[in-house]
Amino acid sequence: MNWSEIITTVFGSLMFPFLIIIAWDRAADKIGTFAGIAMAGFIVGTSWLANHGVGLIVQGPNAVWIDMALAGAAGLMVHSMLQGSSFKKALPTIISACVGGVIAGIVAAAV
Amino acid sequence: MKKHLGTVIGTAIVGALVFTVWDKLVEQYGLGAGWFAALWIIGLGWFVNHAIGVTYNTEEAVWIDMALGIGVTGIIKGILLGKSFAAAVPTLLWVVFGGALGGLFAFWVEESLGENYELE
Repeated sequence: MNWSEIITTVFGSLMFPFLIIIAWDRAADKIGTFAGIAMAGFIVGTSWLANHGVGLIVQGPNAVWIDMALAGAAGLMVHSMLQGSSFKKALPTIISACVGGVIAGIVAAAV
Repeated sequence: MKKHLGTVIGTAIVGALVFTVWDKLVEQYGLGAGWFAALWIIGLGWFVNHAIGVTYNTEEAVWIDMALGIGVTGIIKGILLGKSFAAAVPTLLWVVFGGALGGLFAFWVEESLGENYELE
């Protein structure tokens, strides 16, 4: 990846979890659950347009797809760790989420 | 164990929807459909996995978002379809790095917003 690709990839990857952390729960807690659902459009939809539609996140040639979701997950985990939460206690959920991802990956590839 | 079953199923459902329906919608209707796909697929996924709480997260444990399951889905789908993981490694590293920075910046910004920040 050249420098301009790295810059756009990092920016797009930074933007997505930042918006999730700052806006999503605050909207849901204050305005209500429907706002939480709407946030999926505003935060995820708009980030998707930038990261994948426009292509801020640069994928490799014939490469496995690296979704902005991974940026989201990483940012949320780092944020949570900085707040003092236990990584060890999260391990079962991490494994379960990965298992769910594998199952879905198999289904998606089989389509 | 049952609580972890929720995580597996909840993330599998949203991951499968993202990597089957979403792509198809964009292919058929273009980018705008991608925005709407986010609204209803991720909206539903968020509601089930996080608002209801089917994905098991506790206060004391690091927050594991359904996004992790979605990201893994994309990778596994690619591997099974014969795409190159090696070619994806630079993207993966920069994406995780950028994501981590986003989490860090959000933490710092929240600190300056103050602990008792309340949305008016």
